[in-house]
Amino acid sequence: MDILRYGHDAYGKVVIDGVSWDLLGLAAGAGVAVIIIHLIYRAVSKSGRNRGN
Amino acid sequence: MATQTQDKLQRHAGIDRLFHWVTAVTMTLLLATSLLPIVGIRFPWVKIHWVSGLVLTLVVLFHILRAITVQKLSVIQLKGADLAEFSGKKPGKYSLPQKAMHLAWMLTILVAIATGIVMMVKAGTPVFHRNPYILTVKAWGILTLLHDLAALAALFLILVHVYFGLLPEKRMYLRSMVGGWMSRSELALNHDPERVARGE
Repeated sequence: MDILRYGHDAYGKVVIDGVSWDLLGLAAGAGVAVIIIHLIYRAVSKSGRNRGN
Repeated sequence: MATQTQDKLQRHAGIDRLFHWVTAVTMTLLLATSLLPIVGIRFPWVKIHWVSGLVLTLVVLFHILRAITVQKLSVIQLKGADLAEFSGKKPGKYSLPQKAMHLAWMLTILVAIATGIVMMVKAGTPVFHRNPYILTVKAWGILTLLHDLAALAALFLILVHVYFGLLPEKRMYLRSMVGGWMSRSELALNHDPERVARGE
């Protein structure tokens, strides 16, 4: 997976063009991962509270 | 937090709710117009993108002015003392995660706006005369890199922000961002009413 996009200037020298769009899936995946981890944490802490009652 | 009725306490003024939802719509349009073409959904996106960016810039400028002049900046500032929430201390108006979310959005949007305005000069719009020669190719690359990073951060933040807004136990925050109010019991359960009354 690439991190950056590259292009060339007028002299043919390689320059950075921006972020590689391969990272799009990573950003969305990180968001989904946070949601899943929180859902698990929420379910575990809720069942812990129910056992305590 | 001003009293609205006996049980309803105003959490967000109408103007702040309007700011939130204009920001939400423009950020969604900005992400859709920039990212959909990348995943193969092609349409004339440039005009919608820069107009949304301009609207976002104007409302953010208004929000900053209002935050500095009318509101108390310290209410939303992340402080070391906020860590006491981990040991059960109730927050003031905003909890630690809410302050962290605001900080993350603030950094993301400011980077997107600062880089986006300069990129509007490169693209040429009715607002800015086109001049791609104000920066070197290398500098344009760095600027685009920062703008892209802001887009990726915004994608992540939208997912997390919407998720927490939709959770049943956090629903009162969504309601307060729509209708403006929170009940006295909801406030007492999740916040320290005395700290809120002190403007913390």
